[in-house]
Amino acid sequence: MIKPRLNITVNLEKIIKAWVYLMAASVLALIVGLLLLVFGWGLPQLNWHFLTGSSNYLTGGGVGIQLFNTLYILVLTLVISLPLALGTAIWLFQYARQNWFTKLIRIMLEILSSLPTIVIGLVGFLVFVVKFHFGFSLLSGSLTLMILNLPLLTSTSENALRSADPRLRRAGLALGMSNWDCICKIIIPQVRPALLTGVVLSAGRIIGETAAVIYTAGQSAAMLDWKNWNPLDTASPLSPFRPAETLAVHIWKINAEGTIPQTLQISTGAAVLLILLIILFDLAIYGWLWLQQRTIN
Amino acid sequence: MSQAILKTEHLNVAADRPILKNVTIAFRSAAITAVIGPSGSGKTTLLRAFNRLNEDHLSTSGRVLFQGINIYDPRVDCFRLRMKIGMLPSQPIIFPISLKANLMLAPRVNMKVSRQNLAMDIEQSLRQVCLWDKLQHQLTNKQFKLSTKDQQLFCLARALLLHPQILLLDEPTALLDPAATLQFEKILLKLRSHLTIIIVTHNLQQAARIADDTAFLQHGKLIEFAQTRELFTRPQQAATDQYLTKKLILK
Repeated sequence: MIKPRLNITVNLEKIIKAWVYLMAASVLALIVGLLLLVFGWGLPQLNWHFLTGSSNYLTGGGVGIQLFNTLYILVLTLVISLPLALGTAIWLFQYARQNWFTKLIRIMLEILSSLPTIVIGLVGFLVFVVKFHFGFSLLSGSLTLMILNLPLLTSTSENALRSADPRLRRAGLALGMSNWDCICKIIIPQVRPALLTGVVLSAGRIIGETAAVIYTAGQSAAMLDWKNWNPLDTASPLSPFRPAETLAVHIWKINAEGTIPQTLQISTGAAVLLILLIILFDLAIYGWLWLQQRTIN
Repeated sequence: MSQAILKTEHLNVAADRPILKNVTIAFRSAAITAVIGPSGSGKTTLLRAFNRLNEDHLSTSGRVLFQGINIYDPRVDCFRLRMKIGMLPSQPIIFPISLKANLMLAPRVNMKVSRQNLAMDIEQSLRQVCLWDKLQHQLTNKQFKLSTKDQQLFCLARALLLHPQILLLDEPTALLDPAATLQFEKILLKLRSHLTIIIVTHNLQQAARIADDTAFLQHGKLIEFAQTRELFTRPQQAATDQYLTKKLILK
């Protein structure tokens, strides 16, 4: 029998437990409070006119073009950065030997991921906008976001590939499959959820990024001709060569300039839209995964 | 004695220190050869040297001749080689897809065999390992539950589907109970008629039961290689005698 003595450890345990619970609860409260606040202000602003109309300096107007621009820049950036990131991840995972060159690449990716986004925006401006003559355009914005996005996407993809059971690859190799076939046919199907989690994280960053796109994708949302589907014509919504203000930049701009009467209403409305976009994107990806899992079974 | 299908000449494999030292050995075709020896003697490394599956950081010198061709010649396609020289690890690995997809994966990807042609092959190779009756109705099912024995037999069928000429087995029965081990051995004895089998085993009784020839490896050196009966009854080397005696007494 252990005699009940000074109950220091037991009490300490209780205190720590209470503290940990408190911390977790405050994080939850923070997120819920934030969402409630933004949704409380913003949701009433959402109507068909707000979602589709173009912005107006006198009456405020809607964010239709910005919404489309945000979606477009998301797709364009992912299309550019996914092959690059996946290629680098596969190289690091499969072919790279542990030497100074591989280490250098890893260090470079880490430095890249810790650069302030405004610096990357400046580089994007000097290189893509000025030097390459892409101008303020979706293309310049996407390329800049690609630089921003590459470290995160590469490291999540590499970690995803590494999370597969190494014995699976060995078994594939023993069956005479090439390294490439092992990755495509065995490892990637196995780690698809982890790969897509990386994409979801990146998508959040792309949709919400402001500093890096102000001076690359531009701050103007010119009127678009929705009947013009020629991607080479800058009046067409599909053109990657037109200047394109995103939702995040729009929020920043109307608050910075303060010329529009209903700044608060529009920025909270746009903020809610941003959050909804991210939630919808995540739901779409995880829903697709779930469907695939179900059809296989 | 039938002809040697696979032989090594002065094979050395080294990491930061040597793992295999100057191994010269020739394997008879259509026979079962057992490789025995204490843990860490290089048995698995030797096996992997035969289909170039050793890790990249291991350096290999010397020659491994498969049907007269040095497989370490840079012109040899090691992926094609691994189809001719199949391998089964000690732990059965089944890819998390349906059983049928498991069987079809390598032939479809490597040789572009059509599904129709494969259907016959699949039945044949599953029959060879006595799994056809049990599995034929759940081949497309992704949620399968197989015993360890059935998993190992299934992996054997998957390897056989590529029609290898040599089969390398790395302690294939290490995880099986005695009855399952005997069944596995029976299947190997049936396969021997058209297949060269090299089996690494810790189980001396197993070597004695099924192997035509046995090689004894110690500290990376080939100590003795002879017909199994010879090696077990009249070992020529003191080290072999010592190892056999110790193992058999401990049993």
